[in-house]
Amino acid sequence: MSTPIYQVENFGFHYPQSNYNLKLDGTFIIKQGECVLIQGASGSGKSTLLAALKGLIPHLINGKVSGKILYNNQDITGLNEQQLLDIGYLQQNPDSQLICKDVYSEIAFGLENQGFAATLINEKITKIADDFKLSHLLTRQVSELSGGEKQKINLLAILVMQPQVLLLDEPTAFLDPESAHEIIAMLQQYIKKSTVVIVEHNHYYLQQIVNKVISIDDNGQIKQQNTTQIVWNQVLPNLKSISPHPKSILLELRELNFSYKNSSQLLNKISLSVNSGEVTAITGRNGSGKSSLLKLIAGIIKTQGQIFWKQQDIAEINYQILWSKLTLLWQNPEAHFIYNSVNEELEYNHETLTMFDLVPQCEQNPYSLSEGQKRRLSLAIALNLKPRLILLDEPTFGQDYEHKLQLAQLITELKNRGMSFIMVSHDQDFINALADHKYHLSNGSLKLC
Amino acid sequence: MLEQKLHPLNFIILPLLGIVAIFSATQIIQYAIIFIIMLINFSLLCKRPQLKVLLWFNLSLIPPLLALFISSYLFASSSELSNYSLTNHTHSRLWLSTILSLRLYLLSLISVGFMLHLPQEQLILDLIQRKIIRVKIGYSFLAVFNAFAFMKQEFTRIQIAYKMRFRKKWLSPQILMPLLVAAARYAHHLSISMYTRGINQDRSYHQSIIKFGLYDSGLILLNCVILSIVIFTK
Repeated sequence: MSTPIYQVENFGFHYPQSNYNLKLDGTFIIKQGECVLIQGASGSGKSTLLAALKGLIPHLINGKVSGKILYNNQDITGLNEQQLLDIGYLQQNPDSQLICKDVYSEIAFGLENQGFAATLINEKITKIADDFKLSHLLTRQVSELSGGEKQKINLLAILVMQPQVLLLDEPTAFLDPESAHEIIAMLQQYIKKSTVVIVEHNHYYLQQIVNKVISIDDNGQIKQQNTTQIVWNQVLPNLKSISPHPKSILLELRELNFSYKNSSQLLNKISLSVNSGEVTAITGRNGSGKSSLLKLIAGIIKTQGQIFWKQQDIAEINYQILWSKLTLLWQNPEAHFIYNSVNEELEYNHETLTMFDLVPQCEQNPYSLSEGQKRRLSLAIALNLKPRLILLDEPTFGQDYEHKLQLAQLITELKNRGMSFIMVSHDQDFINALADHKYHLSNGSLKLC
Repeated sequence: MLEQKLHPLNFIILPLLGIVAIFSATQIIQYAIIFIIMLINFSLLCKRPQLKVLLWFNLSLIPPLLALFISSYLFASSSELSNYSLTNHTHSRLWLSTILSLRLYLLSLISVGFMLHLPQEQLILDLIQRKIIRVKIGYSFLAVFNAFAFMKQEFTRIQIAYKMRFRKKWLSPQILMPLLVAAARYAHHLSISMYTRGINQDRSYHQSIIKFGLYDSGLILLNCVILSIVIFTK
């Protein structure tokens, strides 16, 4: 029988100077060789629990801890930094984990900290890069890598240290589906030797590798579930509807070409037409030009005679008038927050607060809201401007199923009022539930799916 | 190649010598020789100079140089002019203005030229390995160089969001808040990444440092000798 690696009992954590109080009720054990998925709603404390399993609490993140976490039968809070190196920890954002300028130094960083000689470091890096077929990246600068490649390097930099346990905090959150599958394939290769704990909203990537599920409900109750009890591919209901408003062409892209200075052609003869009361979805790999396309449509990047708003070239429309008709929402809702309270952000508009179910949070600081609430608030801010078209960049990023459903229902409601949306997303389920027209951007061309 | 043998600290020591020499020089010929020496140093240290940036920098210097030339020509005091025993007052003024402008130009060009090409990463790694700066501080600096691209991207996003929301072309200090939050989050994730990979003072290094050797000492000594001759020869 395999030995328990972790024993967790009624773990609780209180962040200093915060009202947030995590209290998990229940016990669970993680055994050697298991691949465990921790699931729960946004804000249920999954990431905090994972940080505690790594021993970041209270070593790096201060606060009041209650309950008990035993790692190899030892209290995790009593382990020193060297002992904690047995536990690898991958965060969700591929960019903010990179320390060094080049890939080789990045992978070598952990080994250097363990005091290995240069020759041994070289051997280990060469071997692991060969094993995972990533040798071609070793000579590259990290700034040249795509999001998926960066996350692979982050994972490799941890795996090369041969941790006994691997903790992954939403490793595919920033990635397109192909990159996410590649990361999971890497894990699958590694998983035979080690214990893995994953926090992830995108369950469908994990069905192949997970053999145990721990669920945290809204009240902090911990429940151990069998993999057969899990809905691996939670599909949103079809919310497509025909807007009751008469349709008219709002936006037209006529053979749009675009390239950045000193770069190859990013967008090549893109034609697109968006009607009022319609949802248009655009998919494509990271770096395919989706965000640039949104910037072009929003008039942030100037064009001439290629993008038309109601038959008028947007280059001829005053920016104040154009931005009163269309607006853009970034994937990180915090980029839109300026004021100290939700009320101020929405100019005390009670109707919008009610519509977006933000009345109980109206006095709260926007940065202290949960991920779902932040997304709703950013959409509410956009709606307060009364635009005809909203451009959405990865609207479901960081959202769990419930929040995605809420968001999809809101978009449908707005669509039925005659508003149009263009969304750039990797989330096929969300697109299938909402989009009236689906396009795929690849090699500079936009193709109808 | 010589630039691979030279220590990155030369990027700081050599221009400093040049700056001291400029402050001591009084004649145009001295400035010209100092400039040539610094140019040779620069070409020894730098493999790929950023000529375009340097050209733009030169152009940006024109207005301050002109301003300095005109103001020193118009408002030079007689005590300053008495140092130049030229035939008439106009010539002395011209002479003084030229010298001052040349000094400003060379100081700016030498400082920016060398600093622009300073191999920051190599220098910091060298200082870490010599235990001149602590590992945690050194790697934080290195990570900051990586963070520039991310912060630039984040700033663009926040800027666009602000402009579209308030329909303004100009920014307000209000955008500092989301920018600060983004920076704080980035720093937090980075510190976790360093901690989880066991950053500590007693570590090994996969690349060996360039030693401050004979080439470096020789180059610095040669600079000192030539610059001294230039300055003290009347």
